[in-house]
Amino acid sequence: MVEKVEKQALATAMERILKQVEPQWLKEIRIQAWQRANQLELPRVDKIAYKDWPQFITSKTIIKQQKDIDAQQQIEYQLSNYADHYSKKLAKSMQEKGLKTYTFKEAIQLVPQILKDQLIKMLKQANTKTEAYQIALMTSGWLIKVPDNVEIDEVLTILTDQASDQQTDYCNQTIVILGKNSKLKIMHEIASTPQSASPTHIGVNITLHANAQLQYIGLDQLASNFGYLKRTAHLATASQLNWQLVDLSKGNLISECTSHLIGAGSESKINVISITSQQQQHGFNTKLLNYGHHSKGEINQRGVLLDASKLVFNGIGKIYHGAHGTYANQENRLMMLSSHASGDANPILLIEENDVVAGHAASVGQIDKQQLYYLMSRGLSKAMAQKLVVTGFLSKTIDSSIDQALAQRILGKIEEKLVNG
Amino acid sequence: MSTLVIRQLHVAIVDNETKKQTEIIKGLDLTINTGETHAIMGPNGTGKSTLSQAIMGHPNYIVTSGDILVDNVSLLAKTVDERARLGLFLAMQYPVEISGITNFEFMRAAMNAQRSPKEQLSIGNFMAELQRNLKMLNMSEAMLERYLNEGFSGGEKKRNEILQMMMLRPKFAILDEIDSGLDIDALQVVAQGVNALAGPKFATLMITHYQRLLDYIKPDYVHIMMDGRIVKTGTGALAQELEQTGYAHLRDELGLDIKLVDED
Repeated sequence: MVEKVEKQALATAMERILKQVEPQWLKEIRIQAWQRANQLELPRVDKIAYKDWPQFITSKTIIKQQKDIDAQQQIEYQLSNYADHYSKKLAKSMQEKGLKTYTFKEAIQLVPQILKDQLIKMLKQANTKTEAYQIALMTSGWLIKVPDNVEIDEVLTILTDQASDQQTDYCNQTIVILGKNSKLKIMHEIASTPQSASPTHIGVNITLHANAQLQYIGLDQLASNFGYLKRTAHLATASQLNWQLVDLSKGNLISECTSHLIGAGSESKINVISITSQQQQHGFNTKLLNYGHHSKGEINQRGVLLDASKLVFNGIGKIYHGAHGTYANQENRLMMLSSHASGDANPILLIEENDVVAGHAASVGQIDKQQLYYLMSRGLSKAMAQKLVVTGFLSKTIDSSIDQALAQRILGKIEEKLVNG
Repeated sequence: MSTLVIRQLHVAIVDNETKKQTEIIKGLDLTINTGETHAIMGPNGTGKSTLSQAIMGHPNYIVTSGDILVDNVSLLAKTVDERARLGLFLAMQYPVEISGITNFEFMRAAMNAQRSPKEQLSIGNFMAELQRNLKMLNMSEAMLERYLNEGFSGGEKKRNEILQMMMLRPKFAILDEIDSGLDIDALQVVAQGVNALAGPKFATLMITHYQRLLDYIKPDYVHIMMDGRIVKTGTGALAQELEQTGYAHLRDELGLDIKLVDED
């Protein structure tokens, strides 16, 4: 039933998008993606049965909003994308160094070849229905490019804010390309404006050329009933990518993050923090794929569950044939703060080479009563003791290389979510 | 002056799996006034640690009868944190490790928990106090940035307990085998910290196996505990005497029918 309604809505959306004034090459990519989508299946996320959730059309139920979005508005984002509106306030130093940023429409006009190559590449790699739809239906996003040999030390802040008044879902795509020996830090905040209930599809696609270094922080605070986040990176020789994903979304969520360690000696770390509350269900597919020899990957996922929520961490590590001397490690840990919550931590390691180092650890547990007792014996209230233990547990997954002020902001948001649910 | 009174106390421990209760403290009386230093000694398995945990309110220890009072107010219905804020402090035998919380953050939160929202400690005053105490305990400032007790050596953990005690300035400090795992130098440092707090507003209850600790922290009273009760109370001389003669001898002298845990 849902499927039939959704198909109809998607077809209407597609028709509308194809009527837009866009170059023929883009229309062709969209049509190919559309056809592809119809042949593919939804992404498989173990232990979470999400396939019956409405994922592509506005659902009637509106999630109860909390007032915390106002705080975001006070921050000046260098790139912000509210619905189809964009604003750019790039730091002068970034512009002078040669950082290029294009809105989706600017990219079509000014750098069509780059955009086209990216979209074709993405389409080729798309192996799920959701990914293909994302390409067919994308209407907004950024293209960010750092030229070769340019190192930017400041943090580039990006806001992707879903609009409330969309009839169909929101498809947004951020493309990041780092040239050889370049360096960048990104803080990407993903939010929904109040009253928004339409499904959200957000993609982040990263390409790192040789020796490039990127730190990507994703702070996800979606309010939509359903959010699908797809983050993918391809790493060339000796490039490095640290993902720091912080999921504080209020609806249901499927979050996929994949690092393709293609180049020799490339390195990627994926740190994930998630807090679920009420009836929320969040599922994560966090993947590290080692192709290049001596590549190195590490997954660290920590989650806290409140109320009757559900949280699943799938950690997938694959070392391909030929990836000699690689390293792949993962840790998935859940802390349950409610007996009604359900959680799963599933590490999966697939190894095709012998001379590698790979390991995994997983745990699902409750808050340690001895720790609470110890803290309370020093006069801390139970609530305060619990807050310290839980934030302590989660903060172990905040990368130490992250700017202190940003780390504080993340911790503040985590505390808010723990208190407000 | 404040008074801690323990009256005809009976405490049972609950086995987490079988839920079976075993009585450990079997009718114990003890009165401690601020300004006094007490020591409890006794053979293994007589309930010394149980007593300290019961006073602090550990949930696994059930008071089956009797009472624990501070200035005539019963503690039994009070939560662990309320007891702490009333001025009780327990330096634990095995302090837990808590990852992700720095010693500094923890200590500041604990200090502020005692204060009303209007009187929260300024960071300057807090640091000054902290540095003074660190120096006295011969601890480095680097300890503050480490996670709470995580990876601390046995000696470091004990010092960290005393540091917290010095910062929190309780009325009644219970030191549960604070001397175990300490070398002589560390023992002296720890004793120095405890002695620095001594005064009319502070009382200590030391739980120990060895007379040695009492060379550094001089007790006014020494209580000997066996089978869940205090069987004899004396001065520092009693501890010295016991060191010579042993617990079995004392038991026989008192004509008690108790089997000591480590006896064959």
